[in-house]
This record gives sequence, C-alpha cells and structure tokens, in this order.
Amino acid sequence: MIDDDARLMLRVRGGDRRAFEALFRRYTPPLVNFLARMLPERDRAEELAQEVFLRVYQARDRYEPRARFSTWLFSIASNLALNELGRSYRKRETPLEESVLDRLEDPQPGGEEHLEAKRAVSAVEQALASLPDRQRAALLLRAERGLGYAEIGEVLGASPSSVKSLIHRARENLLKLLGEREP
Amino acid sequence: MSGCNRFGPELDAYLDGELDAETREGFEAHLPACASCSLALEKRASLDHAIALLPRVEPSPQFEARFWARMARAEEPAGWRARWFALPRLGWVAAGAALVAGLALLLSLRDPSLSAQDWAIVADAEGFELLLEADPELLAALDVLEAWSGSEEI
Repeated sequence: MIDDDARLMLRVRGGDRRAFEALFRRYTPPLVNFLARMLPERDRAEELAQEVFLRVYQARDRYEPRARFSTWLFSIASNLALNELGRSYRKRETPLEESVLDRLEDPQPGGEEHLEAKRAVSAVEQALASLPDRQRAALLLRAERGLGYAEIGEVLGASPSSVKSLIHRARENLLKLLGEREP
Repeated sequence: MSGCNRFGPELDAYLDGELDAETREGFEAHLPACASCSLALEKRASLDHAIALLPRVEPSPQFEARFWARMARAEEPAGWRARWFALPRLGWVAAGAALVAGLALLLSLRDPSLSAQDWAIVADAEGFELLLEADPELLAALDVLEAWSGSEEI
C-alpha cells in the first residue's frame, strides 16, 4: 500500500516539480526540528536539512516506494547527522540539576511557574543533547515522530531488538541526567 | 532499575506498545503488585510527555529561499548534461550528421581543389613556417644546412 507521500514522490520521479515542492513544505518543519535536536549548531542543522532534500531530489529517478517516504527521508537525515557527529562534535557529560519533570506540567504564562517551566524545558533539551547520538536519535524518532521500533530500525540500520535496547538506555540515561532516581 | 529486575527493556517496549501479547499479559499481571515497575513506568511516561512538550525548532525565515538557491546551483551543470544526454537516438544521429556536414563545408570553403591529404600538407607547411618565424636560430641553422646541401650537389 503506497502512502500519500510516496505517491507524491512517484510524481517527482516523473518530473513533477510541484510534487517535490509539496513534500519539501510538508517535511521541512519536522526535519529541521529533528536535525536541530541532533546537532549542537542550528545553522548546521539547517544546512543538513537542505542536503537531505537535495539528495532526495537527486535520487528521484531511482526512487522505489519500498518503505514509507518519511522512513527514507529520516534515514538520510539520521545518516548525515550521525556522520557529522562522529566527525566533529563532543558531547556534554555533565549531570543536570535536581528533578525537573514535575516542573514541566501546566506552565502559566508570566508567572513564577512559567519561569520554572522554561528552566525545565531547557533542562530536558540539555539532557537530550547529552545522550549518546544513536540513543538520542532513537528516542526522538519514537517520542516526537511516533515511529515504531521496526521503522526506527530501518532508519538507523538496526534490528528492532537493538532499537528496544537503545530506547531503554536512552530513557534510563535521561532520567539519571534529569535527577530522577530509579525506583 | 534497582528495585525489580524482572522487566528491563520490556518496560519501555510496553510503554511503546511493542510487546508481544504473551509478554504484555505477563507484565500487566506483574504491574499491580510491583511498586518499583509501576513507578518506573510512570516516570518514563512523564519523560515522553516532557519531550512531546518541548517547543519545536522552526526553520529560519531564509531556509526556503536558501534551499531553492542551492537547488538551482546544483541543477545547473546537471541540467545541461541531462538535456544533452537526453537527446533521443535519432537526435544523436542527426547531431553526428550535422557535425560531419559542417566539417566538409569548412574544408570546401577553404580550397575546393584540395583533398584532405593536401590540407594536411598545407597545415604542416603553415605550422613549420610559423615555427621558423618564431625561432631565428632555427632559421639560421636551416640556411647553413641549405648552403651545405647545395655545395654537396656541386
């Protein structure tokens, strides 16, 4: 069964530039968000997002709808991001402050609680950035994109059982970094 | 998890709806009696909720314009090559015939009485004269050689 994105991509393969523009507009926000969470530099994340779309367009003649279009797109994005991270960046290892998860609930704009919530958001972002790269990618694909383990496996080139382990370790590490004690 | 070691990664898989039916039933039977697993599950759910609440990183306002500019740059050489190689087979034959006809026309315009072999000789001679003009020493040496070859004849 071919999804709507794959149908658009088949039109791109047939030379329909407008179909590519539609895919570009549809996937720019989630792709930029994913890469910005994966890489420490926002500008570089945007450059890689452009590179992803460029590669999609350049590979249009060879496109076959074997998997969901989004799986293919995020595979390219993950590969580029993980290669980039493997080359040039060091990760932060510093544990963060005390438990922050409670402070994320129901922030009231303008008040003290709002400030607390902003700090909590920043703490979660920082903790995510501190995770090992593949753990972070797996958890983001799960928690933000809602991908299943098999699909995350396709994106990261891993088996579903490896993905299960990656996500388990990602959550355990995050809880530790956020100051949550394991029961 | 320090309190209960019976379920490790399965706890996450349960939260993500990735457990097979048998393991899920076993976990659900275990859960009410295990405070440790219940709390671990709750914390993981809060964590996912926290990630979902994170503000999305939006593309910068220049993102789209920059991308299309980059696309245009990337397409330039490929577009020219693609158009050239995308010529149908008949087009290739026509292009080849036009090239041959053009060369023949060029040759006939220069001197219709000369054959291709003649043209090669003329080109050689022209090239040699240019070489002599450019190198006076070679010209002088040639004069000496000419004089010497003349005296031999005598």
